[in-house]
Amino acid sequence: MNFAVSTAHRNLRYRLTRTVALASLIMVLSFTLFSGGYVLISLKQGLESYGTRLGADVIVVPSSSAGHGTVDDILLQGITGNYYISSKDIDKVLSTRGIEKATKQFYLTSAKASCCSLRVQIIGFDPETDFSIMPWVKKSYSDVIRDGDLVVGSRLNVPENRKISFYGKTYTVVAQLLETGTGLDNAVYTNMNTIRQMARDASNLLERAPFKGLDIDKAASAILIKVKDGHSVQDVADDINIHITKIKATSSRSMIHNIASGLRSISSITGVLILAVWFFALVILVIVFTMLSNERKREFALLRTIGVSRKILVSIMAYETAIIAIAGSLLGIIVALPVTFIIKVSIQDALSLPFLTPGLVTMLLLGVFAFVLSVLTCMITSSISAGRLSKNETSLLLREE
Amino acid sequence: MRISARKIERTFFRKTGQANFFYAVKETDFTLLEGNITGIIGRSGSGKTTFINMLCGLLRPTSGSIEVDGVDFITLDDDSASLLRNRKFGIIPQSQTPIQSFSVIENVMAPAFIYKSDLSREEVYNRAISLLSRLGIESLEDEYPSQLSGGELRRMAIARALINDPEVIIADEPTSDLDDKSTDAVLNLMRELAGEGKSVLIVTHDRDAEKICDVIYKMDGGVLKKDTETASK
Ligand SMILES: Nc1ncnc2c1ncn2[C@@H]1O[C@H](COP(=O)(O)OP(=O)(O)OP(=O)(O)O)[C@@H](O)[C@H]1O
Ligand SMILES: [Mg+2]
Repeated sequence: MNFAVSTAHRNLRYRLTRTVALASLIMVLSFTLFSGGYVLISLKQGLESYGTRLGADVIVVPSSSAGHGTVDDILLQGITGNYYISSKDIDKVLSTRGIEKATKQFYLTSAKASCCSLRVQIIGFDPETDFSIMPWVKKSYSDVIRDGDLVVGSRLNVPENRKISFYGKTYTVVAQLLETGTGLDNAVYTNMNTIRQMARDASNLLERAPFKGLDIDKAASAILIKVKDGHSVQDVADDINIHITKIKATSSRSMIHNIASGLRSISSITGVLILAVWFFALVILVIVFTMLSNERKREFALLRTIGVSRKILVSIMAYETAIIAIAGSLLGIIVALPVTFIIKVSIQDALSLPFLTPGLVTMLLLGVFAFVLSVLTCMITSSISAGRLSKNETSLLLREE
Repeated sequence: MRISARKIERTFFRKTGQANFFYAVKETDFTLLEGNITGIIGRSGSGKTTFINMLCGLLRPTSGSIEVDGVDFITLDDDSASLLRNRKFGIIPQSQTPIQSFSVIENVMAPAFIYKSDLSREEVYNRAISLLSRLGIESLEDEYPSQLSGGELRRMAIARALINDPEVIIADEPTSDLDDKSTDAVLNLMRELAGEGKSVLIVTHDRDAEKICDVIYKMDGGVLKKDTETASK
């Protein structure tokens, strides 16, 4: 084996504590870069996916639902009360000026009782007029959604026989949707006929059904509106809010804005954390490498007397650092992988923020980025002291102490 | 191999009177002859180590020239100078200088593996073992330097300096921490090497060591002069 390589190996093994300590430091660095980068990317993608999933400019919901059953809640947490807009109000909304497209949605929460397989939010939409859910469904299911068909979010466990029952009837899951990173992943989707049938079944089965006096066939839980070009989204929303009581119109941009500011604070905390760890690692590395090169001056001076050139000396130091840096960085990323899963679950569940895990390619790139940056940080800081040492003639002389 | 130095000087930074530097070695002419043992004596701090560092190309003189077999040693690039030092020089430093992570035998063999050579590992090993046994420490071959005494480390360093069969041996106080028996072994070795036509340079305070020298120089305040008392012997 090459003299520089074997000397480097020997020294790393001989000073094992030092080697492990340094590698751990690099490990923390690459871990932070990887998992921090993962959080940043996921939050950003979550927000984007949330925006596109919404698809509508204005969302109209019953005002009684504001507070708990807001669209935010529906989208992010899958929680909603069973509140409805009457057919009279629907007509009023639809007659507002400036609307290009509008589509109704009907929300229903399944009960936890024996009548239902699981407690979920069920969203009924109208495939004919829909522009919000259909584009998403089409990514994983190209057929039409027939009566009795269910399409489910990515986070739902589908039984093997693909049957789920609600309020005494059994339905078939025809497709599972792609992940959005939002609460939409927890919901079940079906067409209007099917959900209205479910609502009727619910009202027959349940004692205190929320549908008393409601024309189930005409009512809706939400109306999603696309505004015509040339009309202001805010004006349309204001118009609806002023003229129709008991309902609330929200521009989706203001909804996204609220979430975005929440995301921004988490993103900036994460960003600051990454920078802080990177900076501290940098400072510690500079100090450590300076100390180490001072400590080893004598040994390097001896190597000079037995004929080791400056080049070989520098490559001994470079090999040592490279081995530590590569091992530490790889370990950091390997440890970070399972941790990203924990991060994902806790951000989605505890913080209820849209969080969309990047795809394989992005994850790979992130891994490469974290690896290269931490290895580079280590190599550059060590080359500063290695360079200083090898250029200084008298510091490479044996001196009596 | 013949090393000759002409008018070499070396200054170091230090506040002295008006100047902020001083001469560690001043206007020194010197020739190291083949087949001879040359001794350098002189008080501590007189510039002996500085002088020999320049002779082996580890320290650049501030002025003057050094030639090794007619080759200008000062302008030689670091790679060639290092290779030359590895192949032709056996340097025994004044201080203890083990490679801590290498065992005794590996320390001794190390110079043979820095550059490619025709020698097999076994040949190098055999040579290392015979040097260690001449110096009486062959039983320590697998120990690590942290387990060795000062005198044992010194003898290890001597074996290491001789592993590549150098043409020039430069020893900075090689017997300072050895007992009489080991000193004799080292001095006999030096005499033998000179007998083979090698150039041997010893910096020493040891009377016994002075006795084996063919020429003795005295370093005094950075200036090297033939020592008249001992030279007349
Ligand atoms: N790298 C250096 N920087 C500054 N001063 C130095 C340096 N090396 C040596 N000196 C100074 O040069 C002078 C000569 O030092 P040198 O080591 O050559 O002495 P020496 O004759 O070998 O002494 P000793 O017998 O104690 O080994 C000393 O005063 C020393 O302090
Ligand atoms: Mg000295």
